[in-house]
Amino acid sequence: MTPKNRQPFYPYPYVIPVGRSMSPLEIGLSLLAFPFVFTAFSLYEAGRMFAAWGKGVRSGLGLGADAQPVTVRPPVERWDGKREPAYVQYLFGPVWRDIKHTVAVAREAARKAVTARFKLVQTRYFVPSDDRPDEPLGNRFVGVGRYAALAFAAVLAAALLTVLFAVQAVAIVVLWLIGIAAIYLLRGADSLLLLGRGIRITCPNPDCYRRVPYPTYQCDKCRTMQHDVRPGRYGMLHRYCKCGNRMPTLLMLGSHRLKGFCPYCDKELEQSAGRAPEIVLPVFGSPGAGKTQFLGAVAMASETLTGRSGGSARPADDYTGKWYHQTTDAFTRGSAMTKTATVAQHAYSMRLEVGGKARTLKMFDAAGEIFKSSSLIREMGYLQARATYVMVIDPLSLPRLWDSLDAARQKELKPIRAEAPPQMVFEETVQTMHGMNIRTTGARLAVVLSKADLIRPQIMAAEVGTSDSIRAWLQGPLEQGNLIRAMDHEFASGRYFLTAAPLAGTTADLSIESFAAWLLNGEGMTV
Amino acid sequence: MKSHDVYHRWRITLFSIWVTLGATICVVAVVLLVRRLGL
Repeated sequence: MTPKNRQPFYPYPYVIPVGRSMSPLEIGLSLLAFPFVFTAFSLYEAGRMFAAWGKGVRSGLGLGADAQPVTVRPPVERWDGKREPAYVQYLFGPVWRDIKHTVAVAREAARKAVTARFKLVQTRYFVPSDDRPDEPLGNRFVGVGRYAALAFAAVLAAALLTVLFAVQAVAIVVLWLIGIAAIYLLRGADSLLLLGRGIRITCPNPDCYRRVPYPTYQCDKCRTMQHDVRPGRYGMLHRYCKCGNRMPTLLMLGSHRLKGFCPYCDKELEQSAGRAPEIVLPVFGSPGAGKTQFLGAVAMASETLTGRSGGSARPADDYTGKWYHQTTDAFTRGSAMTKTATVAQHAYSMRLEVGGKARTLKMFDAAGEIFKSSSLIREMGYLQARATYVMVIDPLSLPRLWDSLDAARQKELKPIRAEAPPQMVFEETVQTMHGMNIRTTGARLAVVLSKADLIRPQIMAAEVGTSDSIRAWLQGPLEQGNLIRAMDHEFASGRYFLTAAPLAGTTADLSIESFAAWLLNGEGMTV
Repeated sequence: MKSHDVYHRWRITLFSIWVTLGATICVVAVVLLVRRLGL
């Protein structure tokens, strides 16, 4: 009895197709041809595998129609203390990711190609394909030869590709080493160039005033800050900001065209910072000595002098632009300057160009009250810059000169007279500078006796005008011998000026021009 | 600029190096093979 759930069995016997039998002659000839078939197809198949791998490499690198590039790692949004918002230079990371990715893509491409070739030999010589069952099969000896050739070609191609991989890795390491060397060379060349040209950058911003080793630059497209653009991990000659914008890496390559910022206080530096040597001009003196007026007049005189020599002088930043406009306006109207506030001031920066030479004149003003306190003086970090120091002395503050004025004149001038004696300001400032480890003995000092227009009769009587005569006047009749000796002791050289701030027509007084000419000529400009 | 374009030129360079080195190695391999076979 047949169980109910038993299915009937219908046998479908598989019959191995009987190939055409070969004659002994054919077998003999096939055996003779075997080595040639093996050799020729080995080379041919190895070539095909090599080409398949190459296509995979091309595809893995994102080239060609079937591009499959690895995803590029996006840069961080902003400087995080370690990473810059810029793309890492190709040789310092992405190249190894690309190689790893291309090996994976190429291996898959080669695997598919080899499988296809094995299948081709199978259907052509051993088992007909399903869609063409009636196609006559080829000589099986040739088929065996091609199988063997395929296997050998795979080994040969693998060996060649291993050698190629090793050689290419060496080539990339060589490129990487060249890149590292280029980074140090470029950095060294830039540093030497800056050193040779005497270029330093002093932050003009209040509460900072530090020496800037290299500005932080802002991308001119997306305004992202690049903390350190110099050649390195993010590029040698240029770097790509996270927005894809190309930025030069060095001042000598044009980074000064970008907006520069102080890396310490994150505030903006003057335009083209680092492109020209600086002339740092810190001014100190008693409150009411005329420091601010003097600086305004110096800026105007610089413009006059450079203009006469075929050059130019213009404010180097917006802050100075506004100040310069207000100053020239005040001078033209003959109105008094506003008293400087007892807080740190932004420097006044002028860009000077004459006869192909450029300088940035940075004038640091400070309220006289600051120079009475060593703790406040210490905040004037710009004193550490290699500078030409200017001490402004109000001659009215010198007792001997003041006493020589009649009572009516004293009453008239009392409101604009500086009270603090200059020696006290000088000693306080210099002592604090010593405390800040500033060597003054290599610097030059300009001693400016301001308000010369108010003491014309006294000047005429003393017959002073030249530096030596002013010094002798101070040392002798005005009884400032101790101050002069202290200045001689503390500074490498001193120069004495008598200046008057009011305009001579539309330009600064000749006395100011004389000071400005001495200053600029001493800094390598010819005016 | 797309992010992958940042490295486009370097990738072309890398592929050129691969092709050049690959061609050289293949030629050298064939020459060695031919010499070995005494052809």
